[in-house]
Amino acid sequence: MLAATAGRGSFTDMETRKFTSRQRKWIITAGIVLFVGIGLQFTSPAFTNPPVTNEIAVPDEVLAIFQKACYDCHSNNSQPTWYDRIAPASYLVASDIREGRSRFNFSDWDKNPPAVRELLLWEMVNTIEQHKMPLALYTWAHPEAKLTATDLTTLKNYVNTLPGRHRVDTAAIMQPDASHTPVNTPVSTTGIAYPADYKNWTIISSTDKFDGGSMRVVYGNDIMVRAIEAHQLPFPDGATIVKVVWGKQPADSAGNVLPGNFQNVQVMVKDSKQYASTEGWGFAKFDGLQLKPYGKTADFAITCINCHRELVPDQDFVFNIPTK
Amino acid sequence: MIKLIPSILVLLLLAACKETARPVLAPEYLHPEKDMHLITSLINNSDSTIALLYGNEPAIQYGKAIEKVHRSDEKYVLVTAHLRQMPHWYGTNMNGPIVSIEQVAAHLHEAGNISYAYSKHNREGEVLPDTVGQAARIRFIIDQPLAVAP
Ligand code: HEC
Ligand code: HEC
Repeated sequence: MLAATAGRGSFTDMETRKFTSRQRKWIITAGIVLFVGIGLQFTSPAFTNPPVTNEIAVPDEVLAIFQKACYDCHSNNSQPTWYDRIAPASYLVASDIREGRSRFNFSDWDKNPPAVRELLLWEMVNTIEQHKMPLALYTWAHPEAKLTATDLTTLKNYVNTLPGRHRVDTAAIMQPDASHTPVNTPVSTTGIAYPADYKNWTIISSTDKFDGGSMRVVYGNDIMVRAIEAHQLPFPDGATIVKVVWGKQPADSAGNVLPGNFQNVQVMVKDSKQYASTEGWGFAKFDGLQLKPYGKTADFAITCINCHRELVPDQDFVFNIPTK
Repeated sequence: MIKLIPSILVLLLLAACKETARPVLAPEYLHPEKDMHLITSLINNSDSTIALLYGNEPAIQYGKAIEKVHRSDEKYVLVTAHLRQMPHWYGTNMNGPIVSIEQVAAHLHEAGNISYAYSKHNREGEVLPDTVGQAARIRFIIDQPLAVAP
């Protein structure tokens, strides 16, 4: 840049000639950019790969896809390119890696309980199908990480072989008795009390969640139902959704699948102030016939919203919209 | 470095798109069954359907009772819908368009025995042909166990 600005005259001209004010501005600006640019490189984050504690074990063709498109941010084997290491891009890359690893880490895979590992794999398929992952900016800078329709099919075929896909309740279904009935209304660490009257609410949908071998019925309270009817988004404060989850019994000779054991009741309550940190939704889950509140601290709600935010940010973080 | 400026532009564009996309729920409907409560939900992958069985209070009481004796004031509604993939989650199928609505109402006869009125129609109220045989269908509906929910 300097050469282009100053190189028009002969060497002697250069010695004696005064720069025009326009040229001087260019030189100063270029100098500052260079100075700040070089300066930034000294504070540029260093990329470190912590040791691999437990690498994910999946078929080779599945691993190859993850390594190609996800490992840079979701493993301890990140391989940033030279241009990823230049500030200020390096700041973005480092923060993506930090955030990516904190969500799940292929190099620390057994940190998650088995059911969570399976759910994460299904979530991965969905983030890829909806072009949320790998991050758009990343594939733009690393075109080789783009995934194809064939890659997606390979992953779908794989998740369909996971055990949850084929889980059925074969033993006699557990019936509630007096010993199960909680004495007091259970309350979640997020401050949500078990909404026992949901059975009088309107059913929004029924689902076959075959990824984990469960079936569900989703209810909405009056505020929720009115908002759905009025096509009101985001849902207003007070809107509440209850999802009842059962296992599945094996199909009978006519193909009918009946609910198996009761598993849990999950709740989402809209309160834009109280639950501002989780997009205005409070989350709760009550497990088993005893309706034991899930989550030692209220922080469990972060994992709930992370998945809902990743996949349904445009419908106020709710999956079950009413169907025709 | 060269990649940086366009990448920031892309970032801004992406951010802008996120701001302006105002999604609207499609004109989809709910199908509430007034004064009825859920008995159970049924999935049938051979037919590719998912159904909700509702009952009135006496039907729910029958479901809870240990001694199974049907009462003459029980009413049932079985709403069957096509299964379709949940739009934003590969891994869940959910209720799509309604295929049929079957109603069963018990009647007490002077002789003391109970008979059942059965009807099958679509959401628009048009009567649908009964293909399985009413007697079998009525039994199937009134004998469904109550799904366990504490
Ligand atoms: C450039 C870094 C980067 C790459 C590459 C990347 N991710 Fe991510 N991923 C992130 C970040 C950052 C988040 C946190 C949420 C966000 O920013 O959207 C995330 C979140 C996720 C989540 C949500 C987890 C949760 O908390 O619920 C899933 C699932 C996911 N990524 C899957 C993948 C898959 C599968 C690939 C490869 C096909 C991939 N990611 C590639 C950076 C990355
Ligand atoms: C890995 C992704 C994921 C995580 C984590 C997750 N959910 Fe969901 N959630 C879903 C999907 C997918 C659906 C819709 C599918 C279904 O209901 O069968 C759903 C539906 C729901 C619904 C019904 C309303 C709706 O959005 O359709 C509630 C309530 C709910 N989840 C609560 C929770 C709670 C509470 C947690 C945390 C304990 C949680 N979810 C964690 C994916 C997730």
